[in-house]
Amino acid sequence: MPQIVVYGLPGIPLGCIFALIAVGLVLAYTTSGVFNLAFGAEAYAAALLFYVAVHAGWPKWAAFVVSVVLFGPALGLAMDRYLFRHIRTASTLAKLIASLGLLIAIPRLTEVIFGNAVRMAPPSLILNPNHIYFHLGSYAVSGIEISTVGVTTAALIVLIGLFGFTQLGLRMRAVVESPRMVQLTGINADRVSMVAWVISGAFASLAGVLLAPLYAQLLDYNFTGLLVSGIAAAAIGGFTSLPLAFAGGIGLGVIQEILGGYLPSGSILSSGLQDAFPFLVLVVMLVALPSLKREHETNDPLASCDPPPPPLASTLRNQSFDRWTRYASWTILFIFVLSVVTWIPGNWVFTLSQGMVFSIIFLSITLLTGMSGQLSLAQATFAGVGAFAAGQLADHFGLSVIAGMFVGGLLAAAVGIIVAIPTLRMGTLALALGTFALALLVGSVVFPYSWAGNGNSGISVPRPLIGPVSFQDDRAFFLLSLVILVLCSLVIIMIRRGMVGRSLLALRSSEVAASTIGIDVRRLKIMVFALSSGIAGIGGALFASLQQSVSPADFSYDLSLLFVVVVVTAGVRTVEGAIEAGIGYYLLLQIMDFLPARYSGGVILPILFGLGALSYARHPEGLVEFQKRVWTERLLRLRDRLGGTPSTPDSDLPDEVVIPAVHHPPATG
Amino acid sequence: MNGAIARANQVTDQSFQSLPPGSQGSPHSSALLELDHVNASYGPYKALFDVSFKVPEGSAVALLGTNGAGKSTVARVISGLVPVESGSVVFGGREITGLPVWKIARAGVAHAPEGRSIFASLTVEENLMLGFALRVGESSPSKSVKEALEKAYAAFPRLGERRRQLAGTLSGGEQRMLSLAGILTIPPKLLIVDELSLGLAPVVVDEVFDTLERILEEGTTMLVIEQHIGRALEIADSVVVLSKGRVVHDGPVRDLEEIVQEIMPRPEE
Ligand SMILES: Nc1ncnc2c1ncn2[C@@H]1O[C@H](COP(=O)(O)OP(=O)(O)O)[C@@H](O)[C@H]1O
Ligand SMILES: [Mg+2]
Repeated sequence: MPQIVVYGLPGIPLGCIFALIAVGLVLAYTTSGVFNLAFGAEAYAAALLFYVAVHAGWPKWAAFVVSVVLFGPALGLAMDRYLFRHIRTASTLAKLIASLGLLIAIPRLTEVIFGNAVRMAPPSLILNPNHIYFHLGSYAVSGIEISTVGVTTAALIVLIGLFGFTQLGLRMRAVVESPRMVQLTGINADRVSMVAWVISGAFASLAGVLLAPLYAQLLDYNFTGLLVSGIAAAAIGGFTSLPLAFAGGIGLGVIQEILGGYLPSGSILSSGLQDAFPFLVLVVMLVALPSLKREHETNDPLASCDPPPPPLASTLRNQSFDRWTRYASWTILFIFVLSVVTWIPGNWVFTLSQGMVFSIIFLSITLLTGMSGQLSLAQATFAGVGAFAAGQLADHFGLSVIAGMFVGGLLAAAVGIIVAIPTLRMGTLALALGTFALALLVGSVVFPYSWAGNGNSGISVPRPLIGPVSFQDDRAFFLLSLVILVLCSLVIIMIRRGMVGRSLLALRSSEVAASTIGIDVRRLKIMVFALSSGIAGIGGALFASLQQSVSPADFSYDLSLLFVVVVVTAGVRTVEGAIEAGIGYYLLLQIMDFLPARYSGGVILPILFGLGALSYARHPEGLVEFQKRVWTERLLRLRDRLGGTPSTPDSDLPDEVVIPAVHHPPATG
Repeated sequence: MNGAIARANQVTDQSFQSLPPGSQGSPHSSALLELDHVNASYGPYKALFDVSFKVPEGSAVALLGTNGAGKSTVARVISGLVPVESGSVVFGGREITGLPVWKIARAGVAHAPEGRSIFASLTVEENLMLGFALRVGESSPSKSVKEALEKAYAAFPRLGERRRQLAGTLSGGEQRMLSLAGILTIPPKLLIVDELSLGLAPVVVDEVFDTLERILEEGTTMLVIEQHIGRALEIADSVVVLSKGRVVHDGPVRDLEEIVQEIMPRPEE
């Protein structure tokens, strides 16, 4: 048997797994317009359930029924019923964020329910995974390979038949485009999309149970990583074709194995291949496929039946409200800084500095997502670029960390531009997926090198020294972070007030309209993306200097996902939101440290923030910011009542006012 | 016009008869559709104020008014796309206020919305199949989807030529034709057409109105929304005029032809 075939054969079962994920993603995307990143989490939850049931002594068929026949579809049903049905007409961004929230929250929820024990050697569904059943030429075919290929092929044939050739399939495809037009033909569109979600849930759980034995340990991390391969395979089918996604998955698996066979074994290149290859495929597909540009965003011809979105919180503000909150925040800030430099114990000062440094990284999300409506899933990676650049420059050239920080920021911005140029043109979804794949690529084939993040041992980064002033002390470093945070905030506030901000606002409401009033949409977007990556890079360098030692694990790709849901929940449209997110998250993490590991902040907070992000479609200003406004209003009203002064006309918020769409005459004749 | 006048007379006769109580629900009740003090809003923007009118069974009512008067909103309220805030919509003697859109459609209300109303990502044939699937059967003029498709292609040969083409790639006129073909092949009880002639060539408009006339004769009740007043009045038995979300006129066509010119100073071709 030729060598290339020997290398390629194990790629078939691997490719089947990619295909299974790809098909699940395409199914949800084409029927609901949701690019369901939570697919990875659904798969993990089902695999975990299967594991727990088998280890409790259940027969495998019973465990299968519970996890794949009951749990998976039920989860899909719940996701439709309680979430995605209600945001069907929301923007791509809102849907992506909702699925991201689930991707973060579900695995942690299962840990709370089933405990976070280490789970080794996940059981296989059928056949003995390691037993050799027969030989194909010189290639030994094991049980896991047979079961993977068999089950996947059967499931996909059923699905492709159902989708392409039945009434139900036709209705599913129609519902994506306009559920309301489907309703006008007398079809219950809610029922149709419910069925699609149930099927997609069954698929995710089947994929999870099949995939689990591939790894020595059952970890949600592995499932999220495989998601990127699935996304690349789905891109081969233009995110819409099931048969092509299937073929793409197999092709990806085979080529990846062949490349792996010829690369020097044990090198970073070969061990990182599984993470790097999908990125290349994805970028090539994004650039090559013009049809990807067709997003399910503005396609519904009946979108004009919806009322216009409510005005944003910030535009509803009135003067007395503004004055009140401004006084309050300045006072709090003053007391806070004074406390830090005087009486707060050292370890809390350190935590607060961490919070501030992360606030800087989070500001990059405010700029990109809150102000220009784009989503990047690689902000932690950009932070890593800044961190390692600053560290390496200090180490090799003795460059001051402060200077290194800016070089790191520039480098991160440059990397940002390289990803943004091919993907941004393709829209929100492409940018999100492209950056997701980039994070995986950089994390596994760039950061491990000794000239970058130096693998598990990491690198050390000094604290800055400006002239005679050293920032070795935590309190001094706190003040430095404060200054940099204020500077970055000012930059963002200035951008918002200036010409660019106004262009961005126009862009966020309508790209087409923006381009007709002469805004160079593409350049503007790339500029914002570069600036955002740059800010993340600066924050990362500052983080490295605070910690004094960082490794690639500090900037792993799943962190970027967490960042997004944390900022979105706190408030992605305002600078305060980013700061509340940064300080709030790391303070809570520290406060919850005393809890048992199963309920620690590292588990509970992702659940809270992940679930909080689900409300993004309804409260794009952020759940925390929204609540803040509600409570401030209540306090204002209370003050008015106690003070006896009737509320001034300008403090009446216009939400309750009914504005007639037509200027009807006062009396009709 | 004779038919229209005859129908109009018949309707007036009926509305002068005092109906015995309880006859509202019977199939012979005078109005197939009745709006009673309907108010509707888009979020904080109020669009309809106490709109009341009736569409008698078997007749065609023209709903006229300037841009933004609320005509499309009335259509959406009837088919359930926009919720009724207060008031009621009664169809065939049954209250349909608050029912989901698909149930109202199944009860026999067909709404051809304003603008593009086809599935761009499906082929021409798939677009038609989607609409036919629920409406073919023993009690319908077409026994099977296949039969309905053949009928549609016979009536609109251009669609037949393009049956495998994605509907999104059709021209604007062809897209309108496609959405009409889906409805007219199996006529509904009540047909609501919104700005039908918009974007169609005059010849095509003639054809389409001929078809409307035909299915009106076959017994379909109609609510016709048109900017093109002349056409609408040709086919209609009575007229409802909206202005700024309120009904400002409701009556038979003949009294109105001149008044309409005053209310809507719109040049007629
Ligand atoms: N989606 C919407 N959101 C807010 N207002 C709307 C919406 N659609 C229509 N309107 C308003 O409702 C009123 C009636 O609109 P419409 O029924 O479309 O009028 P017509 O069809 O007579 O031109 C108009 O003032 C219009 O601006
Ligand atoms: Mg209209």
